[in-house]
Amino acid sequence: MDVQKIVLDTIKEKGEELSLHIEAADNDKLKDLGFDSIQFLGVVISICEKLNIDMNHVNSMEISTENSITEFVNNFRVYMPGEVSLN
Amino acid sequence: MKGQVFINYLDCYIPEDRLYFEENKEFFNEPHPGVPFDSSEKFFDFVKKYLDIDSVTIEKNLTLEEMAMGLLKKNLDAGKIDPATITHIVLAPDLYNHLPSFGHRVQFELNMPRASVVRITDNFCANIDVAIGWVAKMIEGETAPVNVLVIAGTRLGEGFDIRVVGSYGVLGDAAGIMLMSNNRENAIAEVLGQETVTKGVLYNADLAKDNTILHFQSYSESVKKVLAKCKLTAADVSQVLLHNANQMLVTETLKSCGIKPDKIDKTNHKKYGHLGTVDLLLNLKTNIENAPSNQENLISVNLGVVGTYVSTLFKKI
Repeated sequence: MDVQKIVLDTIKEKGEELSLHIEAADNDKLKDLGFDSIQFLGVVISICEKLNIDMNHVNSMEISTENSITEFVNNFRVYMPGEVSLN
Repeated sequence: MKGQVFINYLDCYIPEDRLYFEENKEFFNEPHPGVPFDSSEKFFDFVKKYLDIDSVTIEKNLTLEEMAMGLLKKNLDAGKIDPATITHIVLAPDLYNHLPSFGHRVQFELNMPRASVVRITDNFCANIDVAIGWVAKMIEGETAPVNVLVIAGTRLGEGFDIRVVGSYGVLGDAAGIMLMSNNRENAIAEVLGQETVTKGVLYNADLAKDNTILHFQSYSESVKKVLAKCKLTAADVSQVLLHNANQMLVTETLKSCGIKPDKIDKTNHKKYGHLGTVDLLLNLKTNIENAPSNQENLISVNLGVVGTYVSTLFKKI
């Protein structure tokens, strides 16, 4: 499973849905691109549904609207019981 | 919880004075720690979208000690509290330096000779939730009568300083009291169980930063665990009590746990601002007054700003 592709596709889809101009803005923070924290939460919930994982297994200390898209994709890690990471 | 734990009485003091946001616009001209708004316009946008209030209730004349003492004396005079029966006084104000030595003063001046004094601290607005859980554990297994007087409250300055809690809420002033016991007689609610999740990593968190995912995970963990502990499901919850603050994130959490947002009791949401530790007492009180004795299960889901997430299940009696 290509976790990073799913993460990238989902954040871009959500950005388009919200009419945010996120193309060619890889270094801007998600909050500066227009994502508020609840919209961002929706993105993460959506990613978890696609990956079929529990939200509680997501790395919550590094991913936030403070990330750029690149950072978000790189920071998105899933910790399963007994495993280090899916990435 | 093995033994039954009851709430026998609740009362609050809500000041009449207000702090109007419109009169404090200049506060946002300079940066302040934990305040994520760099202009009054952004603050007003936040308030309009999430709080829908134009002011918070504040106390201009009384100290927090005077607010709490007045509330206690009113209820003692009315016979709502029998001082001779009180076995413990638990202080649970928002801030660690609020109500210093107040428990001993209450024990002495209000004639509660049997009472010992305990302070619950370090969980800010969730101190009252933690106090309920602590009292419940203390009562558990006790066969002798235990009557606990819990005192909560917050009283800040007359300006905006430390009233704006990130993008969560704006703090007002209030005091509250609660009687808990192992005596079902005259009880208004039973404490079924509680689950606290503590994320110490937020001990020094910048409130202006986004910790949404951690908040969501922690709220969710506390809700799911307390339901499991009490052998209840989301469908068994009739109403939800939240802080009178930004409820957007916890609403998303409740939805993910199968609890419908229309179960949130919003009676006090747009009235006074976020009253810190008094929110839970006030919301529980008004909920019970508006629909007493209906045997409904209530869940409170609250946050302490440094990483304390507490879900408590109550059953109205």
